[in-house]
Amino acid sequence: MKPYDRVLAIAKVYMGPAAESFLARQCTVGLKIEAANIAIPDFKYLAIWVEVAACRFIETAKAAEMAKRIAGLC
Amino acid sequence: MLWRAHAATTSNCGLSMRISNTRTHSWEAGNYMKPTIRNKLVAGFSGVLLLMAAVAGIGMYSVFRLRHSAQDATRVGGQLNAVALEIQVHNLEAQRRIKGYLTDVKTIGAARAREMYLDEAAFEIHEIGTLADRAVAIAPDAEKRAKFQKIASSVASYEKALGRAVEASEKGHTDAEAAAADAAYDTSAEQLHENAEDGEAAGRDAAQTSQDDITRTSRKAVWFSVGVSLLGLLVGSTMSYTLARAILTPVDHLKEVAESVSMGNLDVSVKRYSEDEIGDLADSFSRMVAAVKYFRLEMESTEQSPAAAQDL
Repeated sequence: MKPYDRVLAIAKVYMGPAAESFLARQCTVGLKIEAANIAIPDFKYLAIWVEVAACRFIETAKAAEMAKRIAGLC
Repeated sequence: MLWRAHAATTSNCGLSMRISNTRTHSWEAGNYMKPTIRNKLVAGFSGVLLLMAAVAGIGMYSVFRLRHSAQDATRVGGQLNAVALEIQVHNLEAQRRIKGYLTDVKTIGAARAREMYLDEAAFEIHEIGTLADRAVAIAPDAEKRAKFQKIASSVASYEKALGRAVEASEKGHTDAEAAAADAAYDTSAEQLHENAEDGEAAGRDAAQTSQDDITRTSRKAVWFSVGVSLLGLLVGSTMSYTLARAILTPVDHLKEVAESVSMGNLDVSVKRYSEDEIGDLADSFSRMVAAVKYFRLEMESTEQSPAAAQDL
C-alpha cells in the first residue's frame, strides 16, 4: 500500500468523501508537495496541518485523533 | 451507457460484497460479546425469557408443593377421622351384640347365644384393635397417638372383662359373682366407649388441622407466587426500560441532529453514545456532515476567490 493510500484510508474515516480533496489541499498548501507523492517522513508535518484544518469540519477531539493516527504511520 | 451499467453492476457487487462481508464478520467468534443492538436485544429478550421461565418454574413449584402438602394433610387427617369413626362403629356394634348375648344366654342357651352374638362381637373387637393400631401408626402427633394407644389398651381390658362376664353367665356362678363380672364388663365397656369417643374427637381434630394446614400452605403459596411475580415484573420492567433507553437515547439524538442538518445547520455535534450499530451510524453521519461542510466551504471559497480556497 502506498503512503498516500494509507493516510487517505485514515482521513476517510473522519472526512468521508471529502478526504481526498482535503488531503490534497493540505499537501499542496502546507507541505508544498503533490498528495500522491507524499512519503512516510512527511506524515509528521501533515498531521500538524490536518489537525489545524480539520477542526473547522469535525470536532476538535476527532481532529486530534485523526492527526495522531496519521502521525502514528511514521 | 455500457460503461455506466458496468460501473453500476460493479458498484452493486461491491456493495453486496461489503454487506455480505459485514454480515459474515458480525457473526464471527468474539463478536457475540460486542455491545451491538442485536446482542443487546438478544441478551435482553433472553434475560426476560429466563426471568419468565424462573417465575413460571417457581409458580409451578409452589403449586405442586401446595398440592402435595394438601394431599398429605388430607390423607392423614381424613384417614385418621375415618379410622376413628370406624372404631366407634365397631365398638357400638360389639357392645350391642354383647348386651344381646348377656340378655339371651339364659333363654337360648350358651351355644346358640355364642353363635348368634359372641362370634360377631369377637370379630368387631378384633377390628377395633386392628384399627386402633393403624390409627397409632398414622397419627400426626404424640397427643393423638396416645389417644389411640389408650383405645388399643382398653380393648385388651375389655376383652378380659368380657371373658369373665361370659364365664360367669355360662358356668352358673352365683348372682353376686355374675353381677360383679357384669359390672366389671360395663366399666370396661364404658372405658372403651369413652376412649373411642376421644379417638373420634382426635380424628375430627386431625381433619380440621389438615384443613387449617391446607389453608395456611395455600395462603403462603399465594403470597409467595405474588411476591415472585412482582419481583419478576420489577426486574423485567427495569430490564426493558434499560434496553429501550440504551436504544432510544442515541436514536433520539441522531434524529435531532438530522433535523438540524436538514434545516441547513451544519454546526452540529454528533455524539457516539454506544459501541453498537447506532454508534456506527453516528460516525457515518458525522463523516457525512464533515464532508458536506467541507464541500460547501470549498465551493463558497472558490466562488469568492480562488486564492482563498487555498486556506481550506
